[in-house]
Amino acid sequence: MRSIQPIIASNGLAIALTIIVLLPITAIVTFFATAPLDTALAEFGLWLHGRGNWAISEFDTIQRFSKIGFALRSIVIAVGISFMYFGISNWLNMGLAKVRARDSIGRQSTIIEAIQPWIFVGPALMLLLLFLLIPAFSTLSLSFQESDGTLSTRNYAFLWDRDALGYLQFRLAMRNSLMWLVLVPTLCISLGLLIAVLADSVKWGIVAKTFIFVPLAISFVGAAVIWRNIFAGGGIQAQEAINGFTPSYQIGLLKALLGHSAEYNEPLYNLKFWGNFFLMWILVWVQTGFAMVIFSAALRGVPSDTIEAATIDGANPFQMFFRIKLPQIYSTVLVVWTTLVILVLKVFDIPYALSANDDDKLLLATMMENARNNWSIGGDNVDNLFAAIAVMLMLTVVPNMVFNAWRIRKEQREMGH
Amino acid sequence: MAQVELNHVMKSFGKTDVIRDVNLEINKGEFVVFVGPSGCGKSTLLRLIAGLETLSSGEIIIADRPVMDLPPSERGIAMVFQSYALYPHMTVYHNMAFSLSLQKMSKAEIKERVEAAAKILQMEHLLDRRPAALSGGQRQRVAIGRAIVRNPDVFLFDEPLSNLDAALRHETRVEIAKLHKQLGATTVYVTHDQVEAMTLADKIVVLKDGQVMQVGAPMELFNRPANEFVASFLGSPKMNFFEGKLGTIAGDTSTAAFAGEGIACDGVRLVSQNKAQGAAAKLGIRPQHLRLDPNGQLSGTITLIERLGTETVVELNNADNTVFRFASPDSPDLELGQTVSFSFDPTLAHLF
Repeated sequence: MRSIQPIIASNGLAIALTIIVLLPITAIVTFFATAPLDTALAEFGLWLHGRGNWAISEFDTIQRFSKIGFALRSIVIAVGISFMYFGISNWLNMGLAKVRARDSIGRQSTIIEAIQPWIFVGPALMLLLLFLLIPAFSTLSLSFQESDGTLSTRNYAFLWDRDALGYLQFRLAMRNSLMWLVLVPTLCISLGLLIAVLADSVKWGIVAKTFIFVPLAISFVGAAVIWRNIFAGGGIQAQEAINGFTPSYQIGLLKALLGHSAEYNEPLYNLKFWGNFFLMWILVWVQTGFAMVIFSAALRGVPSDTIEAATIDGANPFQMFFRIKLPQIYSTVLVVWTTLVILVLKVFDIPYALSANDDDKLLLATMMENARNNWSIGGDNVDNLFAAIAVMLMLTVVPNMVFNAWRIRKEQREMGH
Repeated sequence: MAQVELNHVMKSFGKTDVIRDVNLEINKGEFVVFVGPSGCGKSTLLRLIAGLETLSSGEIIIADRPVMDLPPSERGIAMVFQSYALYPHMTVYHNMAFSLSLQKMSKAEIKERVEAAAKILQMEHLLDRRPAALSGGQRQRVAIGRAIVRNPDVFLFDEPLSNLDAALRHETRVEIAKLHKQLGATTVYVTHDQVEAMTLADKIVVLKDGQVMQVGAPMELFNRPANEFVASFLGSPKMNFFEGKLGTIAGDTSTAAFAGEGIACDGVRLVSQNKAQGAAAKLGIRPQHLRLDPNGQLSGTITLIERLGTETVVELNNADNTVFRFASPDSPDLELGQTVSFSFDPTLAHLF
């Protein structure tokens, strides 16, 4: 019997080539073929404009309606192309297998099953390659180049050069990023665990958990705005008494509770150094719900008989938690921790919304943007410099990645693999 | 001297009564088996003794101490769970040492006790492994070892063999019996398997719907069941029952006559003492006690023959359409559809 590998390889190649040629052509052709729809929609808009005596100009109407048409077409075509992708590749897979192994249904299904997973994973892998791996490597290589392409480590040297422009920002951003990376996941996990455990032992636990979960649905900028109102100072300078009344547009809830005075006029998140913690708190507030929900489910998965066995062994609630329950959900804790670390790396919106121009609150992510705006005088290798900053950002995750890899190997060893 | 005493123990979950007025004495060193169909409350009773459930009312006394208000760890018990309940993140050694370390025992003493228990169970070579790397039987040993190191007044076993395959179940059953002889510890053992109950127990407690049906030594329960339930629950294949009427009752009410469809006999052990002559009654006779006899009064048509090698079990239908079974240690020459007659010794039968 002939080997099946070459058949699988050639079938896969045939499918890939067909898709690569066929889909873009179809997309382009349909896109041009449906272009008149925009015009039609624009005319419909003009007709509405005429009937409704709209205040906006005819030109704007045409523009807007054709944009809507364009958006609608794009959605329909994109979804259609996705369907086509799966439809055609699957059909080809089945058909080719039938042709190549006419006399054996077993071989047919072997071929089909060898290719099928790649059909589903393929697009994701392509996107990962195009938008993650290739950029990551090109960033790495850019960071070691001068603007003219010669190899150099000057970009990194620049970042560590005390006299260089932006040295302070970079140092602060590094410091803050590391603080965020350590503190935010730790706090989220501690609070999430605490709440998950405590909420399980009271009747109104579900209500409590719901309230803690809700912030997860709020965007970071939204959360930043909410907490700005709580951490804000207020207009104390402007609160000169008018006719004996103090007009209060103090919106800082926390300060109102503490009793506001002129010394505390700054919003809390503007405090030098300590302000960072108020910013972190916002992210903790948003993300604790996530940790809590996952831990709640994980704790429920701890076999109740191990808990009963520990009760009989004489464990008190603390020993029960730290020696029986926590070790059993350890891998869940690590997964949540990793998720949170990655999330923290991506955070830019909270500091950006509240203290965009404050060097003391920079994160590596916000610093890059800041540098792009302010460092244009830094020479013509600015882009290469940014690449170096990005690489530094990536490096902050390395400890996490190493630890995770070590843990997975350890777990596999223990399971006897 | 009773090691464990249950007085008027009641337990209800909401409106459902799970345990109804159970009174029981377990002597020191005794191996007591709670047996009954699923849902009879046997596990709940064990968990009440362990302290994993709280009593609704009544009294539990272990080693002369009322334990109702004591947490499980202070009751002087150790429990082996059906699913073993090993701590998956700890090695075998630490699984066994956990309760001792909670008691703030010195490391040297813990080591000594764990190693002693491991030696008894012949699992010294497993101490460094984690439960995931053990077979079912080995896990079972660790669970027992974890109980042994505590040196409890009472061992509690909750269906410990039901997760093992048949061969291993038999092997472990034998080992548990040996272990009990070796340690001489008071043991309460829950099972739904009557073979385990018969082979392991010094004393069997048969439960049904949260009530004790009968307490006694295995053979006593087998030979002199106190009611129809016990009679039908113990013994395999099940006891045969035939409907009929009570005849003349002997003066001391120990025996009576019986008349049913095609059966008439006298001198049968009367179990239901409160029944009067002429009342509806059931004659119970074990399949092993039937004898093939062409002149026997009991006859039926064969519907099924199961040859087990050690035993042949024959299922029959009598004229009344009552299904009954005949069991014989030899391999009688019978065929499906054949009509056969049996006789039996009335002194081996029971009247319910």
